[in-house]
Amino acid sequence: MNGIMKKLVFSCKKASELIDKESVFPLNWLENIQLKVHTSLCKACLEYEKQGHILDELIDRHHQHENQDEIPQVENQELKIKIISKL
Amino acid sequence: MTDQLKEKPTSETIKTWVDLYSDSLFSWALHKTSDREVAEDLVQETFLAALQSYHRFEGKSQPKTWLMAILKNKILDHYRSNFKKPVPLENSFLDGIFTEDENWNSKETPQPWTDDAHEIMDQDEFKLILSNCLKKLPLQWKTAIQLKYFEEKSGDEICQELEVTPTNFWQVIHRSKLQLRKCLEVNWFNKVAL
Repeated sequence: MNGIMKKLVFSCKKASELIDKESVFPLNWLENIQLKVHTSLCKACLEYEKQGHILDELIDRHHQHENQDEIPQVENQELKIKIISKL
Repeated sequence: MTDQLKEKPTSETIKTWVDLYSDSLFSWALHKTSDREVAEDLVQETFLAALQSYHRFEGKSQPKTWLMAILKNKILDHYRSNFKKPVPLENSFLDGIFTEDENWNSKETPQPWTDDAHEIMDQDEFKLILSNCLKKLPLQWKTAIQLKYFEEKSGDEICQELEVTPTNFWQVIHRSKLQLRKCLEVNWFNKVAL
């Protein structure tokens, strides 16, 4: 991005922050406009935004995989004995 | 069942419960914390707390349900304290991502990922890499990710439970995502392209 753009919009660092903020909290109207303007002009941040969504999906699905067969039951006989001895 | 239990001394009742439910509680705690030692401690604390507050258990719910409620609170306390743990200083990989004038560093500029996300998700190798990348996050960041994705809670709920400000929370999510993205690029996206 050239110098004028940077003054008009804001830095890629700030844009990437807003992109990730948006994944947890709604942005206010100003942030929204700033981000839209920035990503319409900056390919790198647009890509970062896309990859953020992919990342969300990957982590979400990763967890579903882990959850598929319910929670694996783990036996822990030692723990049982340890707790009973402390009661 | 309740009458039967009341005839026995409390500690005897709790011991029966340990025998019956400790494996289920441990499995749950292990699943949530991914840490054997922590999970064991939390389960132990749960039974000790149950012993102390046994008078509040009136047999209205199943013992297992009551114990699970105690355990869930313990897990939440655990998340809360993890979130407050400072991130080690050597974790300064973020420094290199942006230049001093806050542009992407040329090496770090996001490039399109060539793989189709839906396809790689089912590949065992990718799952393993993602799993390792998640493990490598500092404890505080990992906790934020766990709460956001695994517990499927809203940002506001999480902030309330952790007793942190929204800004504090999203900044942690931001750093986690920068690191995860980089870890996946190094170990998968850019690697496969070679």
